[in-house]
Amino acid sequence: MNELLDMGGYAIFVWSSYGIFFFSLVIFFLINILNLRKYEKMYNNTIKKID
Amino acid sequence: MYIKINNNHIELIKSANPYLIFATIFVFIIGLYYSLFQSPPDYIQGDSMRIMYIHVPSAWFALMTYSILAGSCVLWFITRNPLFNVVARSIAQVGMVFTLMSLITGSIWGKPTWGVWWVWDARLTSMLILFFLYIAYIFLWQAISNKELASKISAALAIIGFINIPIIKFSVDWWNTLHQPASISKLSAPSIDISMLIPLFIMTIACFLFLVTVSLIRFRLVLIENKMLRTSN
Repeated sequence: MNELLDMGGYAIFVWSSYGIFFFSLVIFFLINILNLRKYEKMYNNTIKKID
Repeated sequence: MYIKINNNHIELIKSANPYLIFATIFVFIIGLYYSLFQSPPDYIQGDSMRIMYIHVPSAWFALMTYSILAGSCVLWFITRNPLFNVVARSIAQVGMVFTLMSLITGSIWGKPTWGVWWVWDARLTSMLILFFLYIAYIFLWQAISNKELASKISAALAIIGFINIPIIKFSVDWWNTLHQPASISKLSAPSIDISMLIPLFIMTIACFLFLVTVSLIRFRLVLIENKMLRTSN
Protein backbone atom coordinates (compact mmCIF):
# COMPACT_ATOMS: atom_id res chain seq x y z
CA MET A 1 0.00 0.00 0.00
CA ASN A 2 2.83 2.38 0.95
CA GLU A 3 4.55 1.52 -2.31
CA LEU A 4 1.44 2.52 -4.22
CA LEU A 5 1.08 5.78 -2.31
CA ASP A 6 4.77 6.60 -2.75
CA MET A 7 4.69 6.03 -6.54
CA GLY A 8 8.44 5.45 -6.63
CA GLY A 9 9.09 8.92 -5.21
CA TYR A 10 6.81 10.64 -7.72
CA ALA A 11 3.72 10.63 -5.48
CA ILE A 12 3.24 14.41 -5.48
CA PHE A 13 3.30 14.53 -9.30
CA VAL A 14 1.16 11.44 -10.00
CA TRP A 15 -1.50 11.97 -7.33
CA SER A 16 -1.82 15.70 -7.95
CA SER A 17 -2.27 15.05 -11.70
CA TYR A 18 -4.97 12.44 -11.15
CA GLY A 19 -6.58 14.57 -8.42
CA ILE A 20 -6.77 17.72 -10.55
CA PHE A 21 -7.94 15.73 -13.57
CA PHE A 22 -10.83 13.94 -11.87
CA PHE A 23 -11.79 16.90 -9.68
CA SER A 24 -12.06 19.11 -12.78
CA LEU A 25 -14.09 16.55 -14.73
CA VAL A 26 -16.54 16.04 -11.85
CA ILE A 27 -16.94 19.79 -11.24
CA PHE A 28 -17.42 20.43 -14.97
CA PHE A 29 -20.02 17.66 -15.18
CA LEU A 30 -21.89 18.95 -12.11
CA ILE A 31 -21.90 22.57 -13.34
CA ASN A 32 -23.46 21.48 -16.64
CA ILE A 33 -26.05 19.14 -15.16
CA LEU A 34 -27.10 21.79 -12.58
CA ASN A 35 -27.25 24.46 -15.29
CA LEU A 36 -29.41 22.18 -17.40
CA ARG A 37 -31.86 21.66 -14.51
CA LYS A 38 -31.93 25.44 -13.85
CA TYR A 39 -32.57 26.31 -17.52
CA GLU A 40 -35.24 23.59 -17.87
CA LYS A 41 -37.04 25.03 -14.84
CA MET A 42 -36.75 28.61 -16.13
CA TYR A 43 -37.98 27.63 -19.57
CA ASN A 44 -40.97 25.70 -18.20
CA ASN A 45 -41.89 28.69 -15.99
CA THR A 46 -41.66 31.04 -18.98
CA ILE A 47 -43.90 28.76 -21.05
CA LYS A 48 -46.43 28.56 -18.19
CA LYS A 49 -46.50 32.38 -17.93
CA ILE A 50 -47.05 32.75 -21.68
CA ASP A 51 -49.89 30.18 -21.59
CA MET B 1 -29.58 18.98 -46.21
CA TYR B 2 -31.55 20.34 -43.26
CA ILE B 3 -31.56 18.21 -40.12
CA LYS B 4 -34.09 19.19 -37.49
CA ILE B 5 -34.11 18.11 -33.86
CA ASN B 6 -37.55 17.17 -32.55
CA ASN B 7 -38.86 16.11 -29.14
CA ASN B 8 -38.27 12.41 -29.94
CA HIS B 9 -34.56 13.09 -30.42
CA ILE B 10 -34.42 15.00 -27.13
CA GLU B 11 -36.21 12.18 -25.31
CA LEU B 12 -33.76 9.67 -26.81
CA ILE B 13 -30.78 11.77 -25.62
CA LYS B 14 -32.41 12.15 -22.19
CA SER B 15 -33.01 8.40 -21.81
CA ALA B 16 -29.43 7.57 -22.88
CA ASN B 17 -27.97 9.95 -20.28
CA PRO B 18 -28.02 7.67 -17.16
CA TYR B 19 -26.53 4.75 -19.13
CA LEU B 20 -23.77 6.99 -20.47
CA ILE B 21 -22.99 8.32 -16.99
CA PHE B 22 -22.84 4.78 -15.62
CA ALA B 23 -20.64 3.57 -18.52
CA THR B 24 -18.27 6.55 -18.09
CA ILE B 25 -17.81 5.91 -14.35
CA PHE B 26 -17.43 2.15 -14.90
CA VAL B 27 -14.77 2.49 -17.62
CA PHE B 28 -12.92 5.16 -15.61
CA ILE B 29 -12.74 2.79 -12.61
CA ILE B 30 -11.33 -0.02 -14.78
CA GLY B 31 -8.95 2.46 -16.40
CA LEU B 32 -7.76 3.69 -13.01
CA TYR B 33 -7.16 0.12 -11.84
CA TYR B 34 -5.01 -0.62 -14.90
CA SER B 35 -3.25 2.78 -14.84
CA LEU B 36 -2.31 2.75 -11.15
CA PHE B 37 -2.05 -0.98 -10.27
CA GLN B 38 -1.58 -3.14 -13.37
CA SER B 39 0.71 -1.02 -15.52
CA PRO B 40 4.44 -1.41 -14.76
CA PRO B 41 6.59 1.67 -14.12
CA ASP B 42 8.69 2.91 -17.04
CA TYR B 43 12.36 1.88 -16.88
CA ILE B 44 13.55 5.49 -17.25
CA GLN B 45 10.69 7.67 -16.01
CA GLY B 46 9.52 5.34 -13.26
CA ASP B 47 6.00 5.85 -11.91
CA SER B 48 5.78 9.44 -13.17
CA MET B 49 4.94 7.87 -16.55
CA ARG B 50 1.46 7.02 -15.16
CA ILE B 51 0.50 10.63 -15.82
CA MET B 52 0.53 9.65 -19.52
CA TYR B 53 -2.76 7.74 -19.04
CA ILE B 54 -4.65 10.97 -18.39
CA HIS B 55 -2.42 13.41 -20.30
CA VAL B 56 -2.47 11.69 -23.71
CA PRO B 57 -6.27 11.06 -23.97
CA SER B 58 -6.85 14.68 -22.84
CA ALA B 59 -4.59 15.95 -25.63
CA TRP B 60 -6.17 13.65 -28.24
CA PHE B 61 -9.69 14.77 -27.36
CA ALA B 62 -8.64 18.42 -27.18
CA LEU B 63 -7.60 18.14 -30.84
CA MET B 64 -10.50 15.93 -31.93
CA THR B 65 -13.09 18.19 -30.31
CA TYR B 66 -11.61 21.27 -31.98
CA SER B 67 -11.73 19.48 -35.35
CA ILE B 68 -15.44 18.70 -34.81
CA LEU B 69 -16.00 22.30 -33.67
CA ALA B 70 -14.35 23.73 -36.79
CA GLY B 71 -16.14 21.18 -39.02
CA SER B 72 -19.52 22.12 -37.51
CA CYS B 73 -18.77 25.80 -38.10
CA VAL B 74 -17.93 25.10 -41.77
CA LEU B 75 -21.19 23.14 -42.17
CA TRP B 76 -23.10 25.96 -40.44
CA PHE B 77 -21.63 28.51 -42.89
CA ILE B 78 -22.57 26.30 -45.87
CA THR B 79 -26.05 25.14 -44.81
CA ARG B 80 -27.07 27.75 -42.19
CA ASN B 81 -28.64 24.85 -40.32
CA PRO B 82 -28.73 25.99 -36.64
CA LEU B 83 -28.08 22.40 -35.55
CA PHE B 84 -24.39 22.73 -36.48
CA ASN B 85 -24.14 25.89 -34.43
CA VAL B 86 -25.69 24.05 -31.46
CA VAL B 87 -23.22 21.15 -31.89
CA ALA B 88 -20.27 23.57 -32.00
CA ARG B 89 -21.42 25.40 -28.88
CA SER B 90 -22.13 22.12 -27.07
CA ILE B 91 -18.66 20.67 -27.51
CA ALA B 92 -16.54 23.84 -27.21
CA GLN B 93 -16.44 23.85 -23.40
CA VAL B 94 -15.69 20.12 -23.21
CA GLY B 95 -12.78 20.64 -25.60
CA MET B 96 -11.56 23.57 -23.52
CA VAL B 97 -11.56 21.40 -20.37
CA PHE B 98 -9.60 18.62 -22.11
CA THR B 99 -7.08 21.18 -23.42
CA LEU B 100 -6.65 22.62 -19.93
CA MET B 101 -6.22 19.12 -18.47
CA SER B 102 -3.65 18.30 -21.14
CA LEU B 103 -1.70 21.48 -20.30
CA ILE B 104 -1.87 21.00 -16.51
CA THR B 105 -1.03 17.27 -16.46
CA GLY B 106 1.67 17.85 -19.08
CA SER B 107 3.20 20.56 -16.96
CA ILE B 108 3.17 18.35 -13.85
CA TRP B 109 4.70 15.48 -15.86
CA GLY B 110 7.30 17.86 -17.30
CA LYS B 111 8.75 18.76 -13.91
CA PRO B 112 10.15 15.28 -12.98
CA THR B 113 10.89 14.40 -16.64
CA TRP B 114 12.44 17.59 -18.05
CA GLY B 115 13.18 19.43 -14.80
CA VAL B 116 10.89 22.34 -15.71
CA TRP B 117 7.15 23.01 -15.40
CA TRP B 118 6.96 24.82 -18.73
CA VAL B 119 9.03 25.59 -21.83
CA TRP B 120 8.00 27.74 -24.77
CA ASP B 121 8.56 25.02 -27.33
CA ALA B 122 6.38 24.45 -30.39
CA ARG B 123 4.12 21.69 -28.98
CA LEU B 124 3.40 23.35 -25.64
CA THR B 125 2.93 26.82 -27.11
CA SER B 126 0.59 25.59 -29.86
CA MET B 127 -1.47 23.72 -27.23
CA LEU B 128 -1.70 26.92 -25.19
CA ILE B 129 -2.89 28.74 -28.33
CA LEU B 130 -5.56 26.03 -28.76
CA PHE B 131 -6.75 26.74 -25.20
CA PHE B 132 -7.01 30.47 -26.00
CA LEU B 133 -8.90 29.66 -29.23
CA TYR B 134 -11.48 27.70 -27.24
CA ILE B 135 -11.82 30.57 -24.74
CA ALA B 136 -12.12 33.13 -27.56
CA TYR B 137 -14.84 31.05 -29.28
CA ILE B 138 -16.87 30.65 -26.07
CA PHE B 139 -16.57 34.26 -24.90
CA LEU B 140 -17.11 35.86 -28.32
CA TRP B 141 -20.47 34.12 -28.61
CA GLN B 142 -21.45 35.23 -25.10
CA ALA B 143 -20.14 38.79 -25.45
CA ILE B 144 -21.97 39.74 -28.66
CA SER B 145 -25.65 40.40 -28.03
CA ASN B 146 -26.71 40.02 -31.69
CA LYS B 147 -26.61 36.19 -31.77
CA GLU B 148 -26.62 35.91 -35.58
CA LEU B 149 -23.52 38.13 -35.71
CA ALA B 150 -22.03 36.29 -32.71
CA SER B 151 -22.46 32.96 -34.50
CA LYS B 152 -20.78 34.32 -37.67
CA ILE B 153 -17.79 35.85 -35.88
CA SER B 154 -17.19 32.93 -33.51
CA ALA B 155 -17.56 30.39 -36.34
CA ALA B 156 -15.10 32.35 -38.50
CA LEU B 157 -12.63 32.40 -35.62
CA ALA B 158 -13.03 28.64 -35.06
CA ILE B 159 -12.41 27.93 -38.77
CA ILE B 160 -9.34 30.20 -38.96
CA GLY B 161 -8.05 28.67 -35.71
CA PHE B 162 -8.15 25.20 -37.27
CA ILE B 163 -4.77 26.00 -38.85
CA ASN B 164 -3.35 25.40 -35.37
CA ILE B 165 -4.40 21.70 -35.36
CA PRO B 166 -1.85 20.41 -37.93
CA ILE B 167 0.73 22.70 -36.30
CA ILE B 168 0.13 20.95 -32.94
CA LYS B 169 0.15 17.50 -34.55
CA PHE B 170 3.38 17.95 -36.54
CA SER B 171 5.16 20.42 -34.25
CA VAL B 172 7.29 17.62 -32.78
CA ASP B 173 8.42 16.60 -36.30
CA TRP B 174 8.86 20.07 -37.80
CA TRP B 175 10.76 21.66 -34.91
CA ASN B 176 13.28 20.60 -32.34
CA THR B 177 11.10 20.35 -29.24
CA LEU B 178 11.50 19.08 -25.73
CA HIS B 179 8.24 17.17 -26.19
CA GLN B 180 8.70 13.63 -27.47
CA PRO B 181 7.38 12.57 -30.93
CA ALA B 182 4.18 10.50 -31.21
CA SER B 183 4.46 6.98 -29.74
CA ILE B 184 1.28 5.81 -31.44
CA SER B 185 0.86 6.38 -35.16
CA LYS B 186 -1.47 5.04 -37.85
CA LEU B 187 1.44 4.26 -40.14
CA SER B 188 3.66 2.24 -37.85
CA ALA B 189 3.50 -0.09 -34.87
CA PRO B 190 3.24 1.68 -31.49
CA SER B 191 6.57 2.19 -29.74
CA ILE B 192 5.14 1.55 -26.27
CA ASP B 193 4.63 -1.83 -24.66
CA ILE B 194 1.24 -3.58 -24.67
CA SER B 195 1.16 -3.45 -20.83
CA MET B 196 1.06 0.36 -21.17
CA LEU B 197 -1.13 0.40 -24.27
CA ILE B 198 -4.03 -1.38 -22.51
CA PRO B 199 -4.51 1.24 -19.72
CA LEU B 200 -4.03 4.01 -22.27
CA PHE B 201 -6.71 2.45 -24.48
CA ILE B 202 -9.16 2.05 -21.56
CA MET B 203 -8.61 5.62 -20.35
CA THR B 204 -9.11 6.85 -23.92
CA ILE B 205 -12.50 5.08 -24.08
CA ALA B 206 -13.42 6.55 -20.66
CA CYS B 207 -12.51 10.08 -21.80
CA PHE B 208 -14.49 9.54 -25.02
CA LEU B 209 -17.54 8.45 -23.00
CA PHE B 210 -17.13 11.55 -20.80
CA LEU B 211 -16.91 13.72 -23.91
CA VAL B 212 -20.12 12.21 -25.34
CA THR B 213 -22.00 12.34 -22.01
CA VAL B 214 -21.22 15.98 -21.22
CA SER B 215 -21.61 17.08 -24.85
CA LEU B 216 -25.14 15.62 -24.91
CA ILE B 217 -25.99 17.37 -21.63
CA ARG B 218 -24.64 20.61 -23.08
CA PHE B 219 -26.54 19.95 -26.32
CA ARG B 220 -29.81 19.97 -24.38
CA LEU B 221 -28.66 23.03 -22.43
CA VAL B 222 -27.80 25.00 -25.60
CA LEU B 223 -31.13 24.03 -27.21
CA ILE B 224 -33.01 25.42 -24.19
CA GLU B 225 -30.85 28.57 -24.25
CA ASN B 226 -31.80 29.06 -27.91
CA LYS B 227 -35.49 28.50 -27.16
CA MET B 228 -35.34 31.05 -24.33
CA LEU B 229 -33.59 33.57 -26.56
CA ARG B 230 -36.35 33.12 -29.17
CA THR B 231 -39.06 33.46 -26.47
CA SER B 232 -37.51 36.66 -25.07
CA ASN B 233 -37.31 38.16 -28.57
